[in-house]
Parts: sequence; C-alpha cells; structure tokens
Amino acid sequence: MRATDPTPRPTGKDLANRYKYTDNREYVRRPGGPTALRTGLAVVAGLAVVSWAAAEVVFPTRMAYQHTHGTLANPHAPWDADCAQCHNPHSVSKDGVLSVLNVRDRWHDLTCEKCHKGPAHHAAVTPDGEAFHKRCSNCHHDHNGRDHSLVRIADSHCTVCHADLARNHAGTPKEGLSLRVTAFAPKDAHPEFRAVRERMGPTQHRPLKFSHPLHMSPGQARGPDDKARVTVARLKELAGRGEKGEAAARRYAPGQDDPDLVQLDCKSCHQLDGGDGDAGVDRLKKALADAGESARGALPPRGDGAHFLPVNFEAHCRACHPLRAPAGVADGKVVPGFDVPHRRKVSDLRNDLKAGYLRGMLTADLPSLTAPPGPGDDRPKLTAGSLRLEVDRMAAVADHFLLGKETSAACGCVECHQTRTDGEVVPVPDKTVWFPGAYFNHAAHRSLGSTPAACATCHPGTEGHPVPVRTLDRDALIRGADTCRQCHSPAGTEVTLRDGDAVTRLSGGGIRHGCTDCHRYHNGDHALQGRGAWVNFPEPLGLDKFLPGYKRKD
Amino acid sequence: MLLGKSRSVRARVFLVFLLTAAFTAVGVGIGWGGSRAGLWAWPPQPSSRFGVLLGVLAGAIVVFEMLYPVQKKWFRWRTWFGGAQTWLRWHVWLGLACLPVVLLHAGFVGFGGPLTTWTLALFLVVTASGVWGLVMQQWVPQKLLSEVVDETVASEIDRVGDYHADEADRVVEGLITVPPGARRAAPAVTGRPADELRTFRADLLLYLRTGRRSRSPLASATEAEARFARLRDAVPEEALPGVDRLRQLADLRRQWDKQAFYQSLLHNWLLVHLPLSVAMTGLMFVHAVRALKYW
Repeated sequence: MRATDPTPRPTGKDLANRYKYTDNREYVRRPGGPTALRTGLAVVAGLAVVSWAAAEVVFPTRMAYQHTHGTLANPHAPWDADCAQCHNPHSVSKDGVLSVLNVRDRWHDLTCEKCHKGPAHHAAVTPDGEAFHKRCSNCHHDHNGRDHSLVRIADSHCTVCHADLARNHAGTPKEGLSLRVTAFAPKDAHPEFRAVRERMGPTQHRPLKFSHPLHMSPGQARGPDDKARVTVARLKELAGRGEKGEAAARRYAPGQDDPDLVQLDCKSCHQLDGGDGDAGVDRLKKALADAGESARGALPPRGDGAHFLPVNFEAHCRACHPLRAPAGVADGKVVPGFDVPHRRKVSDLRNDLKAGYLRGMLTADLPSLTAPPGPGDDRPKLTAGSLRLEVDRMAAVADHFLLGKETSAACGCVECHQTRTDGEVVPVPDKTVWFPGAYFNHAAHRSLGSTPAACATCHPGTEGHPVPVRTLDRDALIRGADTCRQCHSPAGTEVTLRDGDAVTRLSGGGIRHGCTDCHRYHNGDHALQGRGAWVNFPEPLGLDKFLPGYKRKD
Repeated sequence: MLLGKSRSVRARVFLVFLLTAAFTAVGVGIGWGGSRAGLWAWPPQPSSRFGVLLGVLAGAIVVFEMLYPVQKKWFRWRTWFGGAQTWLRWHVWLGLACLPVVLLHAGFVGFGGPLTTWTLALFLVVTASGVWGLVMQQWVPQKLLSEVVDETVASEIDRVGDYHADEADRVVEGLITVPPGARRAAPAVTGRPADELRTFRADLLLYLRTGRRSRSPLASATEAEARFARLRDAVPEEALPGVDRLRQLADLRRQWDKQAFYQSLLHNWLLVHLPLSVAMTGLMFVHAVRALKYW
C-alpha cells in the first residue's frame, strides 16, 4: 500500500467549520459514544481494582492466597491461607529500609525446621554451599500444587555442587568420593556403585563362608561325586524327627518326595515381608521361639518391601545345619546330645556345653549319681572332681566337634565362620543393605520376577550351577550400574552390558533416572537410618498449632 | 502519531513491529549480558534484588504512562514536559521499553500467583493493544485522507446528518410545493413523480439521520446510483438541481459511514487499552504493596 499524501489530517476545528450548523464548534463538549464508553469502562475497571484492594484489607489472610505461586503441597495443605505458619515475619523497623529490596531473602526465610528436624547437612562444604544448604527452599519448592513432590527435585539441585566437587568441597574429599557426577546416564556421568567398585578389596570380603551356587544346586551337592547330597528325607532327619522335620520339608522342599534332592529357591531364605498371619511365618516364629530367639528382631510387624529381611541362622540355616552337641557316654550310660544356641562367644559356648552335659547326666539316671550307697556297693562313686572331669571330657569332644577346624560334620562353626587366633568367631557384619548411600526398593522391582534366574539378572552368581560347584561368595553379588541403566536412563541411551566376554548393547528404557530416585538427603530415607530415627523428630507442636481452626476442648 | 518519514504505510507499520521487537530484544539482551557478567542470575528472579529494581522501574514507567490520559484530559495545553505530541511520543517509547523490563521482572516463565498472573496478563494485553493502536495510526489517517474527502468531526456525524436531513427536507418540499415568494405558480414536480419524491424523501431522511444503521439501500453506492437515476428520469428538468443536491447529501452520508468505520478502527482499541491500563495499574500497586510490605 502506498500513501498518496502524508500531509497531516485537518484539525477538528477545520472539520467543524466545514458545516456551519448551530453550535458546530461545541463538539468538544459533546464526547461521542466511544469516548463515553471507554471512560465508563475505565471507571468500572478502577472500581474493580478498588474492590480488590478493599478485599486485601478486609480479608488479608484469605487474599494472601492470591499472591502465592500456587497451592501448597498436600502435607502443607492446612496452611494454604496462613502464610505466617511457614514464612518468618519481617519489618522495616527490624530489618532496615534496604530490606525492602531483599524480597527473595524475606520470602525464603522459612520455619521448616519447626516441623522438619533432621541431621546436619554436609559438613565439608564451602561457605557458598553452606549458605545454599541453609535455605530449605533452594531445593524444596512448594506452591506448585497439591500433588507436587517436595522431595523429588531436579538433578540440577545436586549437580550444582557434585558436577565439580573438587571446587565445592571444603577440604580434602574422602577417598573414593566421586568428584564429578552430572547424571545417572550415560555411563561416564555417574560412578560405578561403591559396593561393586570396592568388592575386589580384601577387606571387603565377608567373613562368612557361604556359597550361593552350592545351595542353589539340587541336593546342595559339593561336587559331581558328592554322595552326601541332601534329599528331602535327609532334610527331615537333620531338622529333627516329627513335626520339625515335616515343617522343614514343607518350607524348603514343597511338593517334593522323600527321595528327591532338595531344590532351594531364593524365597527359601530371602523374604521381603514378615507376612503377618501367614502359616509359614507362624512356623518361623515358633522355630525362633524354640531356639530362644526373639521373632520380633527378625520379623518386623510389616516390612516396606524395600529390603529383604535379615537371613537368620535359626530361621533359615538350622534345619539343615543343626548346631548340636553329640551324645556322650558316662558311667556306662549314654548322655544325650542337645542343641546349642547360635551367636554365642566360644567361651560361653564351652560353658553351655558343660552345663548341657551335666544336665544330661542328671537326667540320664547315672547309677553312680542317683543310687544311694549301700552295704557291699563297691561301685566307684563320682566325686565332685571326677564329675567335673567327665563333663569336661564330653565337652572337649563336643568342642572339637563344633569348633574343630578339621571337622567334616558340616555342623560346626567353622563350616560357615572364620575364626580368629583366639578361637573366637569373626563377627559377620549386617549386610541387609548393600547400598548404604542410596535407596533401592526390591518390592518396586517385583515385576522382573522372583525366580532364581530373574534374581540373577541383578545378582550374578546366585543361581544354581549345572555342575555342582562350591564357589564361595567373595564379592558383593550385585551387577554394576549398567544393569540399572537398561531401564533407568533416557530412552535411546546406549547401554553396554558385559558378562564375562559377552557384550550386549541395549537402548535405555526411559524410566526415571533422577538423583532423588536413588539418593535421598537429610538421611530421611537413609537405608541405615530411617525416618523414624529420633534425630528427625522436631519439638512437638500440638494439634492446636498444627491445624488452623482447631479448638481444644477443655 | 506517525512513525518515520516514509510515505509508505506498509513501511511505517513494519517500523512499529520492528521497534517493538528491537526494544524487547535490547532490553532482554541487556538483562542476559548482565547475567553473563555475573551481576544477576538468569533468568532473573522476580524477588531478587535485581528483579525488585526492575519491578520498581517498570512501576515508575507505568505511572508515567498513566499520566498521559491525565494530561490529555485536564492539561491539554503545553505543560512543563512539553505539548501533547511530546507526551504521546514518550508514552509510546516508554511503553515499548516497559515490555522487556516487565518480562525480565517476571522472569519470563513465572506468572506467579493469581494476582501477578492477572497483572502480567493485563500488561501484555495493554501493550498489545497499544501496539495495535500505533499500527492503526500509521494506516487509518491515510485512508481517511484518500477515501473520505469530506470528512467531518467523527462525533458530530449524526448531528451533521440531522443538519443535512433538514436541508434535504427543504429541498424536496421546494420541489413538490410552491415555496412562499416563488415566481412560478405550480410546483416543479407534480403528479406521480411528486408521490415518488415524497416516498423517496422518507427513505432519504432516515438514511441521512442514522446512516448505515437505517439499513437503507442508499448505504450502497450502486443502489443509490440506480435510485437517483430513476428519480432523475422521473422529474422534470427544472427539478434536476434539487435532485443532484439530494444525491450529494446521500454521498456525504455514505462517506461518513466509511469515516465512522475508520474512526472505529482508529480509536476503538482504546476501549481495551484504557480500561485495562487502569485495572493493570491498580493491580500493580496492590502487588507492589503486598510484595514489599509482607515478608
């Protein structure tokens, strides 16, 4: 479009003079319809704003919601319209005039710790890092809707320091600490699991002689020619005749007949849930009670399924590995054998053996102990000294049987435990949790399956071996992070799995792979320090402070 | 307000959009450059010190912008700041400059709570309507000059229409009756043509008084041409000057119909711009007081 003449339009006065009707110059006093309309609309708009401002004055609490970014997350819902519950008040008189400009500092001055107490943050951070961590809202962003998670935060909150930990760490980072972590995938963005990295170190070996391949092989054979393979009948014999043996057979060899070789399953020992009320659990509790063990320690009321319940000798091993003092002979009579408790120091165990044999001698009706001496009775009587010698003799036999290094009874301590030079058993550390710095939930991965083959997907070396071998578990039986990346990595990420010489290339599954999917902060979900730890408990508030509108009835 | 010295409407409209984009780009660029220099974060956080300063600056600009209608209404003569043209020019330039300032203050993506969301949304609509008005001012006056030669005061169109309707009534009356003091003894138009003229007068007067709203066929140039042609054929020659005058009056009214349309384009954006400006300014003050006073 081309303009023909850019000269200015004639003025209103010029236009008015074109038509000389009465008061033609008075048009300025007669605003047209559009002018009146927009003036009217402006007045309406002004009144609307005045109404809003009035509402701010009359209903300050309710209108405060109009100034927030959004509704609070579900746990904070009661305080949607009560800002002062979380935001510390500020004033010019207290903080100075310049504080007016520090809106962010004032808004983010929160009272989180009133309800959320927790352990200290990282101790070795730079002053900047310390300032960052002191402000909870730097990581936990509320006002993002009811269903917004306050703990599922973006990776950038973590990588702001962990992408260059050497720079953001005050002091010397601990040995083995990864100085650069930017994401879980690809491979070079995240270090290998520490449990896997350190498994080859000699100090990491568990002082427990246990072989998954042996136990998962049919009959728990020690080799191809092992004659002592465990059949169901042998299991019943080991567990004890009667109901004990039947119970063990039902549990460890369900549906198998007496001549069959016992075939254990992962579930035989590894359980995610106490299964309150289940008949099997009731038997387990009874077995623990019979052995003088508290069922509560081994079977919590209800597990969350994240970690397997601890494997317990009484519940999971004793059926096949009876810890039993052998029968002895004294005064021509058999002194019966007896079960000895597990988890005793050697010195205590020796006393238990002596006490057990003494009790056996008393109950075995030894004539020299029970028959009163009579005329012509020239049988040798057991004096206190000779009684002690008899007991010590039988206890020494049992001691050798249970603690001897060359025993082949498969029932002694050294069958599973290493011993120190003083003869004491080397303690076995609790390894219910193999990732103390991360969170893993077995129950969340149940859909992968619970067969030995499925478990072996992540736990190599736990499945039975076609040719029975006795390979002791020396490493953490956990595959590396790449196994996780098969699913937990951006879709399309190349993941390489190595199993010996076999290399498999896969494409990432696209399942979430954020830092907080495995790592939690504040130890809140720390595997070894649960949320119920006292360190996480704040000063009690009381319901009246907790719920707005709550009235205590006195 | 005409932008630039180009005679091309298209060039001036393009200049409006170019300046809007340039103001925004430069403002955002300065903000980004400052963040690269470590002066503030990126994107800027509204509640940071820099964000608050931007908010204060934007508020000051909005207050100045709102002084323009005040000046126009009550101080039409020259003020200390300058005349109406100077006020308008600053109103336009600062209005465009305010856009990147507000965007930076809002952190681009965060609309915040309901109040700030409303305030920002209103600001964007106000700015968009202002840019639209500026575009209209580059285009419509040119159209008025070229297509509405006999322009009148827009608000007076109906009054001038009444004035012309009275004139048309007198013209027709003079043709079908003998006016006092006339030399002739009989009306110029008699009989059937006179009846037609009376009927036509009713249509014509209605059209002259109310224009397009009358839904008269005379609103159409083609239809009017045909009707006046038939009238000219029907009346005697001595009545033709009167008929031609009637036609002139109808043509003028048709021009003013067009003028009214262009005037609506030229000014109706103010129906959005002004009320929403008032609302936005009010909410801005509420937002500022709340943000600075509480916490």
